[in-house]
Amino acid sequence: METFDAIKGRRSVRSYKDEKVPVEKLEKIMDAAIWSPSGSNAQAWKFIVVQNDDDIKDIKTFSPGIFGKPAAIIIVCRDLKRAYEVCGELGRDTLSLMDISMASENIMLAAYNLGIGSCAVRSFGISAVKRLYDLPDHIVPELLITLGYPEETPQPPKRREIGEVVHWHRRRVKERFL
Amino acid sequence: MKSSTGIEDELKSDFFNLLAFLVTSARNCVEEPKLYGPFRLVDGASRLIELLEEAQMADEFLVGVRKKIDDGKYSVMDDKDKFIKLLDDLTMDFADKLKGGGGV
Repeated sequence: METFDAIKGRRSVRSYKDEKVPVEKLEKIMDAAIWSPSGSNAQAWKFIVVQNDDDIKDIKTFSPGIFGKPAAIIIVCRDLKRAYEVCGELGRDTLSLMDISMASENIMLAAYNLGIGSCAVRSFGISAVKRLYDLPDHIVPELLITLGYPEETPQPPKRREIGEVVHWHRRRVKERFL
Repeated sequence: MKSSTGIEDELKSDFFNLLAFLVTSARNCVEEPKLYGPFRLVDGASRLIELLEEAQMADEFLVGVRKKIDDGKYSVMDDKDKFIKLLDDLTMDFADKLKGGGGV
């Protein structure tokens, strides 16, 4: 699959078939995650791959943003300790968040490439998930990514016009930002 | 056939999940976009009707309400006016039902 096709074809899937995703595919997806860019190469991230039905159900209980029954969930976490050790406050407060965002996009594009749907979910109980997994204070779950074979694929949502958000000429930028 | 205790346990678990959904939603609404509050409320209504359906306590009207919510709720992501109209329609459906009309 062409990269550009994956970028434009990926949708946020909220309805999944009752079919498990093979472990080999999940491993491939996670390999894509760890090859994403990372500020100062800190790689201050942790990923928890959840496949067990009971565990998925427990996470779903505290996740108003999860719809349907995903076959797997990836809990994307920041490792604040590592981020601070490598790149100080900038790493802890800003770069680590950017890094897991880029890794998450890799996850979703890799999944799409393998015919697997995904949805990034921020609407979940962060403190509840921390408690469920007994995570230490410096490991912060920031995003859930649901995975599964799509039952339905939504239509692409409206996009802002490219001319409205992309600017090419320095002199015209200021007036267009007003 | 499930024993009455089995059904009660299932119901307890379902209600526990619904309550956890409500509590977590309440917490998240502190920071989430304003429109997610109404979204969680109608989604919660849909989930409650689903439980009533499983317990065979939902009538045709409530099943229609749930379908209407589930078909239209995602408009909150990209069409604010459509989502608000859904909320208006649902409110009127309940009013019609109260007046003795069909609704939905």
